Amino acid sequence: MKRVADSLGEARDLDVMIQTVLEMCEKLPEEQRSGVMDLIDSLRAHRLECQDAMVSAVERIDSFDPVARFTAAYAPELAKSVETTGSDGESGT
Amino acid sequence: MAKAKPVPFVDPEASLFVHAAVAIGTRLDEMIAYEHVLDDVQEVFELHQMRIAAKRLRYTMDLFQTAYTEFSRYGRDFAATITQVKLLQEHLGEIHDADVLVPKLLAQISKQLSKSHLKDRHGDSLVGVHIIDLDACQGLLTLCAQARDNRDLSFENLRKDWARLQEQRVFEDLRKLLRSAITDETVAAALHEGDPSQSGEVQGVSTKLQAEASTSITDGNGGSANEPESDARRTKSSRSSGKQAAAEPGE
Repeated sequence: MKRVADSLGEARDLDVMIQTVLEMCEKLPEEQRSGVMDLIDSLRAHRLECQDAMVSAVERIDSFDPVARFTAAYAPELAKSVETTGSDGESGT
Repeated sequence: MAKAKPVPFVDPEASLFVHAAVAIGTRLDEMIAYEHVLDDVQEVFELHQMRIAAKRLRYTMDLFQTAYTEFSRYGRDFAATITQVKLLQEHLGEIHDADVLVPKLLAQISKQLSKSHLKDRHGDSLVGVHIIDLDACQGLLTLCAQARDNRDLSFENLRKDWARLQEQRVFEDLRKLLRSAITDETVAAALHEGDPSQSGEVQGVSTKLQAEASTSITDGNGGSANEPESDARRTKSSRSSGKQAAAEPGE
């Protein structure tokens, strides 16, 4: 999960940065933009690399099936809790 | 990135509000511990740590928000506090964005300048005003200056909002809210049992729960979430047969 969150976070941070720099760049005089555009190009290249890592992290978590694992791990505790709540006739937070 | 401070105890026998109070209290302490960085605009690393701490506090509060909304009378106040934490997070995020962007802009300027290190056909350095793209450097420098100005503004807004929250005692009120939800829940449970004669006992249980949570929900006057366990808690923890654990919510 952390791997997925990290890769999504990195991609998002780059997206935000590219957008911010683009907006700042548009306010510059035409002749001053080339250096900033070079930076944007390199950020976009990095963003593409992130995409691969992100996709593979998401695919990996898919095959890991966290929901099924979570449910299996906590099923006995949940069942016990439901039993207790039922016999007490109470519901709690 | 600093690791999250461990939440002092997780006891399966305690109520959700006790857990919420302990977890949120710990995260609140963690964020407030960085208050000193608001005196220095140049504390890049520490401001980043404060941002992470604010993020952890907000997400921990988000996690328990439904409990306060659905099962206590503090839902609105709790949500309002989350909004305030979110505001701090935004200022800290803007500061961080500038701290990440400026080094990239400077590295790009450095690249531009390195293009000027040319040699003529005799092996001598080429010198001339047209070798360096001064306009491109100027554009990058302009963005650096804008990022710095935006950062300064965000830092100032952060300081103002922090001071306002302190003045309005928002953090203290949050601690009170956390404690009150535990008390209310205990009283409600006793009333549900339909035995008003138990009121003395209820008060006792309530006080005990509050004491447990309060060990973690420090009052901001030197208490610590890492204080040694009280005898009462040790007894309670041992009853949980080693289930005590340090919970560390994710980033």
